[in-house]
Amino acid sequence: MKLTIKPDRGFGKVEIELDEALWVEIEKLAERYGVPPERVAEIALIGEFGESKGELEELERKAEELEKRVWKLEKEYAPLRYKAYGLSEDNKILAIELSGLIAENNQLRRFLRLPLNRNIELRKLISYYLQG
Amino acid sequence: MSDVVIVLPREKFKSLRGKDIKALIAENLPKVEETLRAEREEFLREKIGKLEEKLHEMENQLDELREFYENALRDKELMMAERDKLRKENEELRKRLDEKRSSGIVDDSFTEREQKVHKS
Repeated sequence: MKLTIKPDRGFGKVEIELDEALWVEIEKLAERYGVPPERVAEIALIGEFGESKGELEELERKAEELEKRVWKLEKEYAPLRYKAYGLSEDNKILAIELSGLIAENNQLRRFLRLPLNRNIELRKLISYYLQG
Repeated sequence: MSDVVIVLPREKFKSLRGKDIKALIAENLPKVEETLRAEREEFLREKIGKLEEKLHEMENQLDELREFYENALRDKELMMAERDKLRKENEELRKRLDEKRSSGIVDDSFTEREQKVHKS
C-alpha cells in the first residue's frame, strides 16, 4: 500500500510503501473505532495524542441504554398521540351535538315557562372542544 | 486497493523529513488507539448529553399527552352522559309541550314564538 503525504500548502510530497502487516494494523484500528484508515495514519504522523479516561465501555453501555429508553418512549408516544387525536375529534362531535341539545332544551323550557339550565361547566367544556 | 493520501499542516510535513515514517507510524499506533478511544469517549459524552435532553423532553411530552388523554376520556364520558340526559329531558319536554298545545293552554304569543324557532 502506497502512502502519499502532502503539505496543506506549498509543494512537495513524500511517498512510502507500507508493508502489509502495518497496513493490516492500521485497518484494524480504523474499523474498531469507525474512522477511515487515513485518519489513523494522520494521527500517528501529527503526533498530537489524546488520553482516554478509561470510560469507553461504560459510556457505550450508557448510550445504548438511553437509546433504548428513547426508542421505548417513541413507541409509546406515537400510538397514544393518535388515540388522543381521535378522542379529541370524538369530543368535538359530542360538543357540537350537545350545543344543539342545550339550545333545544332552553327553547323548550322557555315555551314551557320553566327555569333555564345554565350548565356553565358543560358550556365551558363544549367551548373548549369546539375551539380545538 | 487505492493509494492513501494524507494532507498534513506544512510545519508538520517539514518535520517528517529524514524520519523513518513507517517506523514512526508503527511506533505511534498504541497512542493512536488511545487517542481514538478518547475521541470516541468525547463523542459518546456528547451523544449521551443529547439523548438525556431528548429523553427528558419526551418524558414531559408524554406526561402532558397522558394527562390530555385521560382528561379527554373523562370529558367524553361526561359529555355522553349529559347528551343522554338532555335527549331524554328534551323528549319529555316536547311531550309536555304537545300535551299543553292539545289542551289549548299554550297562548298565541307562545305559539308564534315556537313557530319562528321551528322555521329558523
